[in-house]
Amino acid sequence: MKGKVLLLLVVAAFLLMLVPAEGIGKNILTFSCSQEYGTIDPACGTDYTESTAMVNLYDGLVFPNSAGETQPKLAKSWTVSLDGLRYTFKLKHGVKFHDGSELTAEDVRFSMDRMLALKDGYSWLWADIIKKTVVEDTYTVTFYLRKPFAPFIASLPWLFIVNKDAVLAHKEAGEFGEFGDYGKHWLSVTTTEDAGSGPYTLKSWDRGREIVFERFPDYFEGWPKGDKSVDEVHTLLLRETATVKTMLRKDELTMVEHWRTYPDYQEMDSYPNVRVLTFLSTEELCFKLNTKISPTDDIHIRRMLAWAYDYKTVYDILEPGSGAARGPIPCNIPGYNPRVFQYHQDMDKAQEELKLSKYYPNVPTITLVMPTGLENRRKMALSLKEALAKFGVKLDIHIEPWGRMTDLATTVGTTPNIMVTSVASNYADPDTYLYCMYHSKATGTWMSTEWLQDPLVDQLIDQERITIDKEARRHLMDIAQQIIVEDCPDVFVYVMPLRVAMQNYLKGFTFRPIMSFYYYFHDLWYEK
Amino acid sequence: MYSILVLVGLSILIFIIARMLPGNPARLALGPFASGEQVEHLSHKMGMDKPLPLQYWTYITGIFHGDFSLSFQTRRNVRLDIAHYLPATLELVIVAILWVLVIGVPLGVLSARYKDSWLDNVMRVIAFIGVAVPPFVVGLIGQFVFSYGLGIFPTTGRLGLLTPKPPSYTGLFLLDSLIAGEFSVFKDALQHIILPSFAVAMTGIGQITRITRGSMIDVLSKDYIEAAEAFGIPNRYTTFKYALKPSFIPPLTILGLTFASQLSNAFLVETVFAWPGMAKYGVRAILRKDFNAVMGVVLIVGLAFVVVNFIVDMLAGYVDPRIRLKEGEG
Repeated sequence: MKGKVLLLLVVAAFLLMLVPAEGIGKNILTFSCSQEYGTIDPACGTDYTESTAMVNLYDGLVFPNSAGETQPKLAKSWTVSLDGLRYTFKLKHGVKFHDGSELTAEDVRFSMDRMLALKDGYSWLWADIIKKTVVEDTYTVTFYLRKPFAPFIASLPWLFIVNKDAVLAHKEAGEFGEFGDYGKHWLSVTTTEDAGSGPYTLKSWDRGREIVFERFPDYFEGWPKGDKSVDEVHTLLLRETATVKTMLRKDELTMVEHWRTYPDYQEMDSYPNVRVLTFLSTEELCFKLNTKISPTDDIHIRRMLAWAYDYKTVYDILEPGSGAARGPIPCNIPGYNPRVFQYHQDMDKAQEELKLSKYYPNVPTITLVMPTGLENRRKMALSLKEALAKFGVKLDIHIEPWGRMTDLATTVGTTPNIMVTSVASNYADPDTYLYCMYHSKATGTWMSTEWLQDPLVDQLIDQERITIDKEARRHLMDIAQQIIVEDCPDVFVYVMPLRVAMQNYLKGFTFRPIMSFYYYFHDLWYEK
Repeated sequence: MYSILVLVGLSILIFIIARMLPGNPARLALGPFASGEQVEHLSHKMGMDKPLPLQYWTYITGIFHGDFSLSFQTRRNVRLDIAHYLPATLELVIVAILWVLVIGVPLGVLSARYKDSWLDNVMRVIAFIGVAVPPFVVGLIGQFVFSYGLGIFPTTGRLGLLTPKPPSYTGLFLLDSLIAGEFSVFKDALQHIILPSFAVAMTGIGQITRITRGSMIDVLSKDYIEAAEAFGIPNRYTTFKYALKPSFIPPLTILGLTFASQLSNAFLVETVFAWPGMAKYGVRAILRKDFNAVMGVVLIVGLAFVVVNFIVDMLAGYVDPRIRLKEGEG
């Protein structure tokens, strides 16, 4: 008898579970991400998830538009001194932080000082540049630079303004005197709230599972779409793509981030309730050639590689929707030089270059290293291997964890002949690529495994960085791009597409050519 | 005593291995654009520039003060991370073990009782499938059929989007919601845990069915069972009262080991169901070379093995008094 009662109870409990949950009254957007949010502290975050939080919880002085041009955000206007050493910003009045207090010039100064003191996140952008930040009055702030830095305005979207009072109210003992730890432990680790003025506030954060942003009703730019705007954004950590697809089909997921594979997006696009948007990103895949070790130290070997590569297969089969790479700067970055030489596959020319090489006919084996888990890149490497085999040149492919790759890149001797990596823009300006990839001071990172160390290129980059006149600067960058392409330190394979899948009723997605600035939820609205 | 030695040995081993993994963790933590100065600053802050024995000593003495060092990934103390992730995995594994007990043991008993019959053959096939099919595949199929197809269970997570978390007493949502009397939350948590826990349990169900069957067959052929049957005692009494207890020692041992190993092995199921558990956290820590997190997870799993083995030994004595007697005699 007891057993039967128990059985009945179990069956009743099971049936109870089948009753559906109550309906939802808000516009809730569920968004997948493939990696965890490490921090929401704008002085510490760097990767795409952290940047997504920063873009939505905080505001910067400026904000990029879809063409990559920098537009005023918190700043009403700004002036630049003739010598390029002083930038004065007038702030908009009445901008409210999430706690209701007003955002002023003092908060801007504090945010820059905090960023530089913590030496984390994007602080490297201004570490050697900013001399001091001065508050002129409640709504005016001036940055004094040690040396001119032409892309200064373009880099400023990464300076997110934090609420000084809120941060200091949570400071702990630390190495920064009166500022303690600058509130880092709170904002980076223990926080359950943000310290920003952005369109969304932090509602909850269940680490390893989801982070929830809630609409800030008093946002200073307002909500033009009113009730159609997104009320809450639940960003869910979903690594397994099969799970993502199931949720998307069921409308449990509103938007899928860009980090899945092409066949996955193809399948998602076939769902009747879903559409996939494809944009040309600012990330370019390169076969980076170490110009200082044998045999890729020989320009003819490098050119041979560039001629031998089968670009068409990449554009047509492996990554449809991608763009042709012409030089190191993707075509959607203002300042890209469309006149630089572009290689295509020509095996005759490849052979000619091979014969001109000092290593011919006994070309040493070329070593290629690429990161684990990227199947398409492995196929691209195999395609090069096959092409080189026709000339009897051996290509040795090694697949290494990312951590190992960053270690290999630290010295010229450990850097292999070829590293297959992609570089994205930090700001919509060619300088972000030119400096990080080719300047001698930037060597030793995975972005600069060409070890170009060309004094003329260094000089041109140094010069463009301090040239305030736009035309003159553009001319310098054009020449730099031309010299680099002639020197062939990379096989510029393709500009990577950025794909995002979303429910048909979600509107307003706007691409911007800086990482995560396209995940600006203020753009979006529901049309159900 | 031996257990402590095992844990110390394990900690030394993992400490060394974790630091031999390729890649500078400070560089990985700071992201692609960090300057050499930034990397140096963090490395120094994390004590990575000190000799290895000193690093180990600092780490191990810190543990006694509750300091498991900082995770590069989450920038928090690993203790906080484990406290956050462990209850989710623990809840998943506990429910999975319940599945194993409720399904695996009866299947094994029935299989043994009706040895070589069609029922036995069916049970054996089920057990074989349980062992052979990877748990994440079971999870994906379960998601497709019960979540997408029938819409009975949610696809991911521990709770629905709008369900508030229960007050945290134990971190186990099922238990916490019951303690707080929040039955709607309990229902939601139960709906969420059924598919992932069943996926985790599948291997265990297969193993326990097979082991219970083998052990039962052995006991059922003993003289005292035959004598009991000869006296006309009903089959269900001989099976469950006289045969099951002595034949439960091997399944019990396996159950204990399954419980401890699932704490770290459940990561694929946790990934499929976006379950914010410790197993997933541990694997991610290995991939990101977050060695303090790796150490923390390994020590917790090591401790779980030690504790579970101890409990299994105790239970074995309870289930089969002959074991206690033997020890007493010895």
